[in-house]
Amino acid sequence: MAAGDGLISMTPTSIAVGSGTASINADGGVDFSAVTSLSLNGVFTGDYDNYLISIAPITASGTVGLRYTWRALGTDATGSDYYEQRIVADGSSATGARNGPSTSTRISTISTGRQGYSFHAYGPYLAQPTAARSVTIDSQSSALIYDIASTHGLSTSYDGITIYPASGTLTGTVHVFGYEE
Amino acid sequence: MTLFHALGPFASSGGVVAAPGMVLMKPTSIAHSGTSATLGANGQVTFTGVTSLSLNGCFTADFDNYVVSWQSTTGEQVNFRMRASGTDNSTASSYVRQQIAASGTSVSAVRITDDKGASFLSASTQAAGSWFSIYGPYLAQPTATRGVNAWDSLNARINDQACTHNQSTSYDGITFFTNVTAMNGTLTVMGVRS
Repeated sequence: MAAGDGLISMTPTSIAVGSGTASINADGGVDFSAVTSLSLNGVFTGDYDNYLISIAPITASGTVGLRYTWRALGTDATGSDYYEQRIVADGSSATGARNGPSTSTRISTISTGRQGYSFHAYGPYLAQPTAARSVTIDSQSSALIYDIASTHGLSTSYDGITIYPASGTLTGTVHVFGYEE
Repeated sequence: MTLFHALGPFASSGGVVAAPGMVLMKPTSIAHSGTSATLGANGQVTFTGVTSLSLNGCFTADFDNYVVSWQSTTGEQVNFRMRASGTDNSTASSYVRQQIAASGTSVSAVRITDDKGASFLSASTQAAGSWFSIYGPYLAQPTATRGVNAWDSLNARINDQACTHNQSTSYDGITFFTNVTAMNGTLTVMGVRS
């Protein structure tokens, strides 16, 4: 039985940037230009357990890691509690690697070409460890899979997220959706 | 194209917004083995200490494809069987799954033919999440599934599954079960508008 809409647009209560510019759109998405970091506040609530964060289109000023931290009441969680497992398929090569514990972790890599990321966040607002998974299309000219599973071990409730490049700046659009329950 | 652009609620640029692209499905009933499972008013299922969880009436003729969004803190080697009118299909060798796993620098793959499919693996007392896509369960044709997963808050791991089920049967439900560690978490089923 159909019971409601499956995805609900989450409009941030506020946003912040390290440098550069960003604005909240009428539909809840956030456009940003040349930002060194972008923080979305109040996008995770008690109404939903799981979220889909669509990050596309997006470009960076260089080829770097696209990183994130969970965020509670305007403060990034920067303890050494993040782990990541990546799997990369590039032509006939498939490789894996794990990092952590770290003070932040990656959604994926990013470069100057146009890319797209679907980033699934499982239970960020719940006071339990959080899991996340990115599904990535990388490298516009050759196509590359660069997916990452990341986990965060603290049992803390987070209402926001900060995304940032390891160096340089980002330009693009991000939109957070809650899975209706 | 991102996954959202393929499945999301809005038409692509230049089109029109016709209707929500994904619709929350509320099972007509649920059944479980273990401690407890409850069906929320809008369709979310919350389960605690269960070894099996059956969803009835969550697939209909209104939609071809579905997504299960799952988060859990326990539950290991979670398998599934398609379900029709309250009965699981356990036909021998009817489910084939292709797994790919990444743990540290190790990347491995295996194909298994079985009387059950696998949605994902997760470890006890650790966070896990799954985006589990089910293609054509209500159609009287073979069914395909794909699990895109993250788990293990003390390490982080990938264990993705592609599964096919060769029975040309119309299913209105699904059973998730484990023979290892009981499951604690929540799930929702969403129909993808055709």
